Amino acid sequence: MTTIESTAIKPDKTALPVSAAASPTMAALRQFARSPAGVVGAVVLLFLMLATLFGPSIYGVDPLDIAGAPFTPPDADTWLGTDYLGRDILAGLLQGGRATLTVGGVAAIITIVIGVTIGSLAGFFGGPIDTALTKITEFFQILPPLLFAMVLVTLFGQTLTTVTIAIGVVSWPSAARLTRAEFLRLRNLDFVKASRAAGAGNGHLILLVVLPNALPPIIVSATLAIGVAILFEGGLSFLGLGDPNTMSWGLMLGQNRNYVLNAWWTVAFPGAAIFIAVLAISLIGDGVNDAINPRLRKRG
Amino acid sequence: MSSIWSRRPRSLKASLLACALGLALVATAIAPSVKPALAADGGTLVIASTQVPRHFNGAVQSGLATAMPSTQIFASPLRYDDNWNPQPYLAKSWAVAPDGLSVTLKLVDNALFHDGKPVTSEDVAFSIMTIKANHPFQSMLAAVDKVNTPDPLTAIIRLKHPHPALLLAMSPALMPILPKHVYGDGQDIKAHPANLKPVGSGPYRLTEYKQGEYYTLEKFDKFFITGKPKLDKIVVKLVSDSNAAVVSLERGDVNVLPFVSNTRDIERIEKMPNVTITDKGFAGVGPINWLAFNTKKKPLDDVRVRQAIAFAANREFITGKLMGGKAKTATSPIAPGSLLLEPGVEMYKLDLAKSAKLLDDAGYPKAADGTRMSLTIDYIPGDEEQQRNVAEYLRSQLKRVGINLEVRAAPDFPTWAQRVSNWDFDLTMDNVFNWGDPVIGVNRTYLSSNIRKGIIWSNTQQYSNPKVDELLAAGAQETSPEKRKALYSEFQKIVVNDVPIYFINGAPYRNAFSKGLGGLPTSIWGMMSPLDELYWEVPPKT
Repeated sequence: MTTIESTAIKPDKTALPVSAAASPTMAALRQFARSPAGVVGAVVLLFLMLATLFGPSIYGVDPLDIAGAPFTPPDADTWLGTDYLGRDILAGLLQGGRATLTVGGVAAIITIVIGVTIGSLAGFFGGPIDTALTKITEFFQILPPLLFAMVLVTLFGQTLTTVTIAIGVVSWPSAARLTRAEFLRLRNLDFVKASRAAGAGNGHLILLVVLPNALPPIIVSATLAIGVAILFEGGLSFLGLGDPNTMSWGLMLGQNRNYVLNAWWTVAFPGAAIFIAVLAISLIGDGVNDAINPRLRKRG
Repeated sequence: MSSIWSRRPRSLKASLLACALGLALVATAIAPSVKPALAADGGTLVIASTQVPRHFNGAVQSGLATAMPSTQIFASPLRYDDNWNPQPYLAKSWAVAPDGLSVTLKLVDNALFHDGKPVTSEDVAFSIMTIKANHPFQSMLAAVDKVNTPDPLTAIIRLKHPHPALLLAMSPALMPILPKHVYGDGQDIKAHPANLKPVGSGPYRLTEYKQGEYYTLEKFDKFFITGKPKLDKIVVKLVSDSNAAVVSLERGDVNVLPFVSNTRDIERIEKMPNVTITDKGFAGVGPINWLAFNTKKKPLDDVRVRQAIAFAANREFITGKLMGGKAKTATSPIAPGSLLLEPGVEMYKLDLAKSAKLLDDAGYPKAADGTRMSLTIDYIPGDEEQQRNVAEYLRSQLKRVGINLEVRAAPDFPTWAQRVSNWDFDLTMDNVFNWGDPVIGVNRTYLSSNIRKGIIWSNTQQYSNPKVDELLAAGAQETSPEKRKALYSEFQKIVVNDVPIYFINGAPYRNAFSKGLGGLPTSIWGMMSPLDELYWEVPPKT
């Protein structure tokens, strides 16, 4: 009895923010705003998103058009120079950022949806279902993700959709394991038992009782998954498996890599863009972690 | 892709090899200081090549990778100078009968195979019939009926009809003379164990082959031309990364870099003070980079649409800007550098207005969004500058006349080959070799009898013009050089007007040599001919 009491009170406070305070979201945001890294990351990412959203129409140059002589260094006309076909690098960065950030976001969503579904079912039900799902997860986990993604893209064609789905499909096992661990921890706690005793069905328990309490680490992991997906897209494009009809940062990097000795600007700017975007997202991940990690919250 | 994963371990091995070679070079550099008079002879040559041979038997395998070693190991009846003139090699003389139906070869009497047995007319007969039956270039020896061997040093090639391309087909790269007593043992010649342990009569014999890493050729002491070859040893390092090969060349770890085709590599090599680079040695191969159309698929079945695309594509921009001025423009099915090239064909100079009018006339007016049609373009993966970049350039360029071009990337060569050979394409970039004579390397692309589904580098355009078929058939048998040239001139004009293919450029191949080497191979076959005259004027310092 005593053990139940002691475990019941603690997680209720920490892992149930929905019912803990009057406006837990506001509290988390306030906490996030107190983390300098997170704020810097958010500002940078916001800037990148605005630039890629409105930049192309303001700048008005088609990134796939020949804008000048090949390998023009940065100058007054083409601010960041041109690539091996004479295409404008700045136009490519602005337009390509859309694709890159979209791929990152969508792939992360796919990762989390698959991972959370499998992980929560495995963790909640346990027994043979857990065993089966864990085996499937392990099967995907032992495949080298980049090679697996390359196979998928090779099989189903080099389009942005395939690339996005491939990244999502190869990245979910870690999310699944994380979710499963959270569910294993939470499923026998008193508040879950209480809900079950009150007559809640499995669906209700998973979605409305356990999952909200398992979310904090999943959210952090989702944020980081975006960065990983962006790097993945860059890696695939670098290996020549990007979508040649859609400009993206990875594609620019991959297509120009042979010319790095002749024209540094063709590689340096897209590379820097990827670096900054991934760094910003990692910083946000840190900030989110600070904001929803109860231990840090107490300290703050 | 594999190159990226394998680069690290390979470069380690390569540097170990380079160390070993360095020691060998020290040893050879000391020797001449004792006897300065012999400074020109001996020594080791290191070649780096990205072309990995499947095996060394050029009788059953085409391509640069096999041809380079095969021409060192095997001698052939004839060889060629740098102006398309045949020279004696295993045949000390040759005579074409007046009716053109037989060619008599008189062989040298002192030629030995590497196993010490003499080269006889039996071997020549065996080799010719083996090549006819097994070589990928089916048209090359199709006219050969049989080979008579009245005595051990005389071979008479009997033809079904006159076949002027035969003399060129006797080049080292195309007609290696195999020892019958080795390859004629009844085993399948394409999978013969001796393809990897070849026995020939050429200036060098293969002494070592480490699959995919390097192979070593050593001087054959009993080579039938006295005083040749001059080098003691040739080591060919197989590299996956052309950048690394260029750096090795600059450092002097590598003495010869053949088949360089990338503009940036060429520009870097041109700036090296210790290296000579030449575009000579590729007239025989005659590589053309081109844009091919699927002429049976709407809307490309309309010649006006194809012409419109030709007028919108800007060949001068591609060679001048994209390829940095290193590539020659190609304007007809015959490669630049060939004696048969017809300069008076339609050039399709950039003319967007004319292009737009042709599309209007063909019934493809601009839609409200400015587009007339949507097409796809494929390209051979791997050679970015010659293939991918041009495809991407064409996408930008054709948009100007309202053609929406989608680039279809292929992850690997088989994927591309499967699409194109099964006619599942609209437009594709391609790179095809002339191989010296139209009968050997040109006919296959245009003959309507060679529209063969599933076979790459057949007439995948499905181009069919009875007049062209007639001209090619006549040209293959015409023994008068002037009349032959006239036939092929007409052929070129018709094909260029019909645009089954828009010819873009001769692939900018170069061979690079360390300074200090003499007797450079500048013949029409370049590095695909015996390197028996190559020598060190100034042996390399180590």
